[in-house]
Amino acid sequence: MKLFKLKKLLLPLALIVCLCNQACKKKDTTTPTPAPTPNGTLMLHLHTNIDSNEVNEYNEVYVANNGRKVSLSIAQLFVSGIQLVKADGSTYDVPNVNILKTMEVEEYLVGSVPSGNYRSIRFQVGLSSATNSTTPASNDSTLNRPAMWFGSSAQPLGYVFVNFQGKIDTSNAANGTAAQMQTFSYKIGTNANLKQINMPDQNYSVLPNQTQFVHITVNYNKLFTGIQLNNANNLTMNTVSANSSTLAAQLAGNIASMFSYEE
Amino acid sequence: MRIKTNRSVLPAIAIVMAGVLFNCTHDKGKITPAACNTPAVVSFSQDLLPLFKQNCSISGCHTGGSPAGNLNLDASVAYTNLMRRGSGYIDTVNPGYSLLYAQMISTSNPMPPTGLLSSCQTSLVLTWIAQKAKNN
Repeated sequence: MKLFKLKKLLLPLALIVCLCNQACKKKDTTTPTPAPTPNGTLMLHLHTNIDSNEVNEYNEVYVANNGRKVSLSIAQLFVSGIQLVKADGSTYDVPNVNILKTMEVEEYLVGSVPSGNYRSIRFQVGLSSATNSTTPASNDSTLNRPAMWFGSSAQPLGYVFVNFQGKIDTSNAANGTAAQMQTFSYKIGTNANLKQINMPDQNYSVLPNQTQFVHITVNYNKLFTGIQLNNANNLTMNTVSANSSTLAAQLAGNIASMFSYEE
Repeated sequence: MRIKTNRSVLPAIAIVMAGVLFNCTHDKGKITPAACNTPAVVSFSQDLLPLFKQNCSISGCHTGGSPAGNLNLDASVAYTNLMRRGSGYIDTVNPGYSLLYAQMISTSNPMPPTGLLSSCQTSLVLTWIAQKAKNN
């Protein structure tokens, strides 16, 4: 009698088991609707350096790798046109981000970007020609910065892309004293001096709903490369008209070498 | 006879049921880690500094005069350095944006570079930041 009951019980049980298995398999075989790529947050961590010295204070004297003394009174630049290079070589253009990199702030939000594996980042130093011809809104904390204008307003002269000022030892042997340092002032701008930066490959991953940082060092001492510092005329470049000079071309040509991944 | 039949059927049922459960495990989602015993109030000195001492402020890394990333995490200066304005190490408004935490959970560039800290350890750090990153 008990055996009969057990057999009776087995049949529905087997049926339930089959249904359960089928239910599970069904989930595996159904082609899912492609879900939108989940996003993560990408941030830049940008350091202001004079060669291996991280600049923490304005007007503090730092010694460059060649022994030359440098102090900064302002060091800031615009970053825009950010493009992320995915691991497969395709690119993602980050929409509408302008960053004003100052010495005081290292952390900058790039934005919400598709999660995945990336191998590089590209950006421009300066502002697009469209942005360069706009007047900033009064509440625009990035563009509404008089220190980054050529005139008393952003227009019609446009924005200063790199504002780099301070003092430097101009002696030939780079062995002058701090007291002998000379003032320099460079304001690089104009559409012609918008510079594209393509960082070398260094893999990073953006995970869904997580924050990933890309660490980059901005070495302002690189701007002096090839500049004859003992010529006083080479220590000042502050106007739009001066931005078409040989000195401006030299300075702007050095911009790309300022950027390297933090070691 | 009855006993013999029961014994032969029951293991079969058990095997089939186990099979069903095994087939369905993928629907259950991630297995949650064991409880972390995170204290109600995370202490910087009691909970975080020992973590830094063991994993961060070690020779060649975040210690001494030229620390990696210009961040010295020695006990005497760690708090001041982490809270340096504009550094981004700590973001009490959006704790997940904090560089200190983001770097610890990064899969591509983790800190420490030798490997990820446990989820309990990173959770401790995140909780401390969310609790306004006090020097307690």
